Amino acid sequence: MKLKLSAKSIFIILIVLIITMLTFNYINRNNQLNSQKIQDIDPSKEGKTVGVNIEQNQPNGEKIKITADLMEENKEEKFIKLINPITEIIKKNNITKITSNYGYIMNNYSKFKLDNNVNIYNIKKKFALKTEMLLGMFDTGDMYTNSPVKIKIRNSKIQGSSLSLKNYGEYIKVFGKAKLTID
Amino acid sequence: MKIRKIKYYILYFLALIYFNSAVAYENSNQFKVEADKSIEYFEKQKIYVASGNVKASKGNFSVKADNIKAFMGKIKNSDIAYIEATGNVIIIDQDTIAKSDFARYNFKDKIIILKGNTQSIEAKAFKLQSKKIISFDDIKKIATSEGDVKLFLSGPISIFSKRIDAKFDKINNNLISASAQGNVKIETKAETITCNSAKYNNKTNLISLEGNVIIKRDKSILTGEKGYMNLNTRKSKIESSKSKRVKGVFSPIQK
Repeated sequence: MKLKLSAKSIFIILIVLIITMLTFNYINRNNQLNSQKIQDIDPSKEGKTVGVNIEQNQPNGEKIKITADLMEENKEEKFIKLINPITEIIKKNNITKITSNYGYIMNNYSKFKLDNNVNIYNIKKKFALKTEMLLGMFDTGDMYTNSPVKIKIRNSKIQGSSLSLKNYGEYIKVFGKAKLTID
Repeated sequence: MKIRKIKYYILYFLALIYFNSAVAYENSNQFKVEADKSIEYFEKQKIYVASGNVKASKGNFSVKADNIKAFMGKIKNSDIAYIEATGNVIIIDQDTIAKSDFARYNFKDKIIILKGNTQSIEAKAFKLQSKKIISFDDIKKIATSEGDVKLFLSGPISIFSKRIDAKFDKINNNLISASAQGNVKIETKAETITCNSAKYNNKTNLISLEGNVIIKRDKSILTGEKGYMNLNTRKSKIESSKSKRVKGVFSPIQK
């Protein structure tokens, strides 16, 4: 029995194959990334806490709240590693919320590094930021990254290849081939 | 038959994606900026600063410059009040091109101010150039320019003056009328006219001249207080005032 395939059917089969491959690759890559990151944690080495809730009052009147699924303290390197941290910086009813897949708190709770799927929101300011990695200081609210960044402020959008941000968004500088759209 | 149906479904699906994305991104009211170097945002001042070979556009209006600042409205923060462009500024609005070192465009009043060593507004039928300032009202289509102003019209006719106010057509940006004040000099192919002030009307194609009018054609000179020049017929008329009489010096052309 001979199977005849026309050019149209080959074309459709190819499209279906490409879409399937792309979907499979995307799912596989995400799984790999997640499993790889979780493997980095070595619970036997240092203290591990499930369901973290940290609150700190800053001298400038700001309140910092950090919740996370898991916390690992590395006493040798003097840093805290957080899984799925949610950070809230509260300043006179103005809440800045920062989420990411991984977070590192260093230098006696003064510096932080956020990794993988970093998002910053401030509903009052109608501000949103999305990037893959972010370094920052809790006391000044200064942040920077060399990863591509997308920002939304009210009705405007900014895109660029790296970022420097002061005082939780009072001043923002996006570097590289940058785009701004105002609706 | 079935394959054809599937093909149509795929095509329909692709077309739907395309149109959805087109509708999402092609907003004529959207102000778009692209910069090679950086984009800054100052929250308190509500200012955006784009640096390095900046290109900005909104509908038919587009600006190119080294740097562009966008100032958001004080009452309604989400609207752009005005923009300031500095360094090698080129503004394109339909067929009109403006060039300057500095430009400010007010989105509400639609007023463009060009400042610097040399600035110009150019369209098909004219070119307006100044060494101090050109202000252009895009609603009333009136340009006011100061500082060694030059207006080049088709003909060719060149008008030089300290100050020139020009009115343009609201549809095609063609010059309707122009008024020059102070040290006016008009150059055509055949004559050079100097006077204190002059008015040009595109409809009649007449230039009316006032104050110390001197018309030089070849080696002939006509002087008077008032006059006009018809650009269609190339005829000039000089009128006297109470204190000054018309004078003429005519020299035959040597063959």
